[in-house]
Amino acid sequence: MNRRRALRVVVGGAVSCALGANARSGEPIAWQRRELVGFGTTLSLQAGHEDAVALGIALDAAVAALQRIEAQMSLFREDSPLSHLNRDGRLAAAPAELREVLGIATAVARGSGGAFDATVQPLWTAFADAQRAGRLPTPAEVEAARSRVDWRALSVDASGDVRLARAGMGVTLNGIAQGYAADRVRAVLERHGVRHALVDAGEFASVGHDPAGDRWTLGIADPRVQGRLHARLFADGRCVATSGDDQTAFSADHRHHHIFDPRTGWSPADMAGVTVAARTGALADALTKVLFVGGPAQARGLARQWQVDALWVDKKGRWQATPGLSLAPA
Amino acid sequence: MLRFAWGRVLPAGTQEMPDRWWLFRWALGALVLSCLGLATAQAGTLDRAGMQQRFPSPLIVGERDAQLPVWPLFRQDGTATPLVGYAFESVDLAPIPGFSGTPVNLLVLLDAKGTFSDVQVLTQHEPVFVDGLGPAPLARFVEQYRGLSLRQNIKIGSNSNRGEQRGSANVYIDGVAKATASVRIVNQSLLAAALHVARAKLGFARGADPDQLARVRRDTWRAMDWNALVDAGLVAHLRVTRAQVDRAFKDTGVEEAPATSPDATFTELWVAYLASPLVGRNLLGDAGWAHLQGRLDDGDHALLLVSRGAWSVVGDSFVRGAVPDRITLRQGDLPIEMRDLDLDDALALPPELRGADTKVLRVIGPAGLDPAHAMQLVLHVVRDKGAIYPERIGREFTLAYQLPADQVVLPTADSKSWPGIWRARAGELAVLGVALAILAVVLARPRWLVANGRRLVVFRTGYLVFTLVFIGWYAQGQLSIVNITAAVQAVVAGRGLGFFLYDPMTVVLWAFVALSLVAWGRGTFCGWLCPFGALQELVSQVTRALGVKPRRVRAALDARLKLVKYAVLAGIVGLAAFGAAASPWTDRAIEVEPFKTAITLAFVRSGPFVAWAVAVVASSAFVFKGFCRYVCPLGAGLALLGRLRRIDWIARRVECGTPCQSCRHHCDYQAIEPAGEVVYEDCFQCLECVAIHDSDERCAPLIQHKRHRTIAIRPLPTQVAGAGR
Repeated sequence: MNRRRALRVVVGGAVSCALGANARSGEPIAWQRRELVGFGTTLSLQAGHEDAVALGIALDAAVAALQRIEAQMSLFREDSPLSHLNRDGRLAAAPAELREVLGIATAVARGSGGAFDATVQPLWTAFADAQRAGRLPTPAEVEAARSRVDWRALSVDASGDVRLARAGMGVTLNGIAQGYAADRVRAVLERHGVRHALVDAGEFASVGHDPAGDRWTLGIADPRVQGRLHARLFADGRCVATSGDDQTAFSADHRHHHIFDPRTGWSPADMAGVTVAARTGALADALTKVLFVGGPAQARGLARQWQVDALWVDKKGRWQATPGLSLAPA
Repeated sequence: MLRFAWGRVLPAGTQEMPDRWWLFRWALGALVLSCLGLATAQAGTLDRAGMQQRFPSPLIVGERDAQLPVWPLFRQDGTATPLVGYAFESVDLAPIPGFSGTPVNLLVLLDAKGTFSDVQVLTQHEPVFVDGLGPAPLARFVEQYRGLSLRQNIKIGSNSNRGEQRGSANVYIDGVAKATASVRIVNQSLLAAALHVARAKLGFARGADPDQLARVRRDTWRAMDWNALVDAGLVAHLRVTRAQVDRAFKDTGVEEAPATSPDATFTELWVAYLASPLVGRNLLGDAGWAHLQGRLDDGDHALLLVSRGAWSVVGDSFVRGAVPDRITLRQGDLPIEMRDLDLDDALALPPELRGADTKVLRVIGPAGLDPAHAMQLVLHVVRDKGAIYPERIGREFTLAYQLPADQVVLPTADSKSWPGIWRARAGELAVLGVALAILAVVLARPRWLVANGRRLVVFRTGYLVFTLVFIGWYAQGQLSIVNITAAVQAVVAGRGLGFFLYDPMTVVLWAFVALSLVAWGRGTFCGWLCPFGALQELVSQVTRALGVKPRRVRAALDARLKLVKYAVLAGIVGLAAFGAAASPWTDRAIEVEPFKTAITLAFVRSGPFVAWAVAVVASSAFVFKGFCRYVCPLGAGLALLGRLRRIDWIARRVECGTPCQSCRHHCDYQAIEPAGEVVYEDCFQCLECVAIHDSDERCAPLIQHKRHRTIAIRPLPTQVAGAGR
C-alpha cells in the first residue's frame, strides 16, 4: 500500500473539475479526476472533454476497466484468477485480458533471454518471508526459490487454459499489469471520445494535453532523496513506466529490493532506477525490468534493440537517457 | 412499433382488445422511475457526491471499491494524493437490527492504521432516540469513537464498573442512560463493520479472506466427559503460578513479598468452544444444549471459561451480561468483543472443578471470529503502584486455544461464488422446477384439471400450501418490489446484476414470472406463486369453513378500490423520487408490503410490523384477498407489466355477459366485467370461470344447449350444436 512512486505528475494535478479551453476549437473543456486504490497503490485518472456528461460516462467505463484488470491480476486478492493459478498450478478458461498479458510477458521473456520473467514470485515470497523474520534469505533459500523460476514452464493453450509445469511455481504480473492497464484504460477513454487524459495506473499513459493546455509532464523522482526530481519528462503519446530500487526495499541500502534477476535470484547490483517510454504500456513496464537486470552498461543497447527510449539512474545517482526522450531540467 | 410483432392469439368468439399500449408505456415508465427513485432513497447507498459532501475538500472521495462497499478517501497534498482511509456505511457490512427492527446506519471513516477518524449517524429508527431522548445523545455517543483504534478493546462504561475501569483491559466510552441496549447494538454494528473493513483492506487478517470463515462441524457428536474433551484438545488449560506472576512484575516497583510457596496456583483457566455440539451437548446435557442454541443467533460463537485460584477471571466487579474486564479475546492481533451470556445451566464438570467460577461468553457472528484459527484468551493482572493516585501496572498471561482441525469445515474456494450456491441448493431448485413445470402445464391445458370440481379444489389448495410453506417459509423465495429496486439500483450504479445469482430461488421465480406475464398475465404469480397471497387465501378458506363469509364489494366501489394499488405504487414513486434521500418515510412506505414480516421473517419481528401483517391476513376473511386486489404495489406493477400478455387464454362464449352472468358472480376477485370480458389485470387465475365454462352442469349456455339438444323437436344443424366450442 505504501509503495513509493518513482514517477509523478508534476503539473496539472491540482486542477480538478476546472474549466479550461480547447486550444484548437476554443470550446471549453470540462476536467474530471478519479482516484482509486489498486495494485497496492493510489491510482488516478484525469480527463477532459467538451461534454461533462460524456466525460463522466467515459471515466466510469475507465474505472470499471481498471478494476476489472486489477481483479484478474491481483495477488492481493485470494479469489483473483492469478491467485487461483498460483494456488492450483493451473487455471481453466483464463479471462482474455489475463491471457493477453501472459502472452506479452512470455514474448518479452523470450526476447530478453529471461531477463524479464513473470514467474519470479517464489523469489518475492522467499524475500518477504525472510523480511518478516527480520533478516535476508540465505543463499540456499534464494537458490531453492530461483530453481522454481522459469518462464518456459508457463503455458497458455488455445482454449485459454493456463498451466505451470512444475509444483511450487508462482506468477506475478506486478511488473507488467500496471503498464498494460494504463494503455487499456486510455483506449477505453479514447473510445468514448476523450482526447485529453492522463492515466496513472501505477504506470502512465497520456493523450492530448493537460488542463493548462500544455503537454503532460511527468517528474522522474530521485530514488534517494524524497521530493527531488532528476528531470521532467514531456509525454509524447507513448506509455511511460518506471521501476526503482526504492519502491519496496528488503535492505536499507537498497541493495535488495523487489526487482530480481531471474537468473541469479538476487537484485541487480548496479541500477537504481529505470524509466522506459514505449508504444504500449505493457512493453514499457516489462522493459524497465529488462534494463534493470541488464545494468547501466547495457541499457543503451537494450533500448535500441527494443526500439524504445529510456532514462536510467545508477546506484551512485548518475543518470543517462537516450535522445528520443523529451526532457527538461527538474 | 411493437404492435405488429405482438399479435395476439385470440380464441374464437372474442373481440380484439382496445389499444392499451399508451397505458403500458406509461406504466413501464412509471415503474422504472419508481425504481430509480427508490434506489436513491434506500439505506446504505450514499453515492460519491453524498460522500464528498460529508468529507469535503481537501479530502477526495475515490472510486467505490469493486469488492467491498467502501470508498477510499485521499487527501490532496500538492500533486500527491495519499490514501487517508476508507469510508463506509455500517449497514452495508454489519446490518444488526436495532430495537425498531431496522439497523442503525453509521457513516464511518477508518484510517489506514485502523483508527476511527470519524463516526456519524446516517439513519436510525431506535424508538428511544426518535421520541424519548431525541437524536442528540446518540450523535454525542458515536463522536467518542474518534481517535480510538480497532486494536483496542472498546467497551461502553456504566456506573457499576467505573471503579475498575482504569486498570481494565478495555478502553471505555460513555454509554447513554436509558438507552443501554441501543448503544450496545450501535457499538456492535460499528466494531463488526470496521473489523470487516480492516481485515479486507488494511491487512488485519494477514491475507485471509474475511468472508471465508470456517464453520464448526455439527455432525461429530459422541459422548465424551470432561477429561476426554481435555485429551482431545477441545478444552485448553492455563495455570499461572505465584512465581510466574512475581517474575512478570519484577522491577516494576510493585513487587510483592516473595510467596511462601512459589509453586502455588495464582490462577487457573480452562477454555472450551461451547457452541460445538461435541463440547456443548456433552457439558450442558440435551436440555442445556437446546437452551444455549436458543440463546445464540446463527453464526454466533460461545466460549466456556472455568476459572479458579487466588485470582479469578470473574472479578468482584464482574457484571452479569457485560463485557468482562479481566479477560479479552484476540485473534490475529485483533481484539474481538465477547460478552457474558449469563447462562446458568448446570455443567457436567469433574468434582474438583465444582467450586470454580464458570462463565459462558458470546461472540456475535458479525465480529468475524474464525473458529478454524488460533484464538488467544488474554488475562490482565493489574497491581497498584502508590497509595494515593495509584499508577496501575498490568501484565498479561495468554492462553492459546484452537479447535482441532477435524471439528471445523474450511470454506471451499467456490462456496462464495454463485455456482457453488446453485449446487448447494440444487435439491430445492429441482423441486421448484418440477412445481413450475406442473403449473405451466395446468395453465396451458387446464381442461383436465377443471373437469372435476373436487380435483381443482384439492390441486389448488395443495399448490398454495406448497407455495406458502416451501417457496415462502422454507426456501425464502418471496418475490418483492425490493428485488426490482435492487436490480435497477445496481444497473444505475453500473454494478451489474451478478449479485442476483447468489439467490437462485429468486432468479428462477422471476424468470418464470417474466415468461408467465407474457403468456398468461399477472395472475400466475399473484394467484399461484406469491407465498403471502397463498397465506391469505388459505386463511380465507379456513374462515369460510368456520362460517365467516367474505363480503362482496359493490361493483362501483370495487372499481375504485382497484385503482388504490396504482396510487400506492405511485405514492412510493413520488416519495422516493421527490422526497429527501434516505427519508424514513420511504423506508416506511415500502413496509406497506407485509411480505418481509409474514414470509421472510415468519412473523418474528417487532410489534407494529406484525400487527400490520396480521391485520392484512385477517382482513382477507372479510374482503377476500383485499390486500392483493386493492393495495399491493408489486401486484400493481405486475398488472401493468401484464399488459405484455399475448394470449387471451381464458375461453369465453358469445353468451358471456349477454345474457349470462354466471361466472361473473362466481368470481371471487370481481375480475369479470358485466359485458363478459375477463379483466386480466385483476385476474388471479384461480380457474373457477374456466371450470364453469367447461361444465355442462354449471355453465348456463351449455345447460341451455343441452336442454335444446334433448328437448329439440326437430334435429338441429350440427354447426349450431357445436356453437359453444
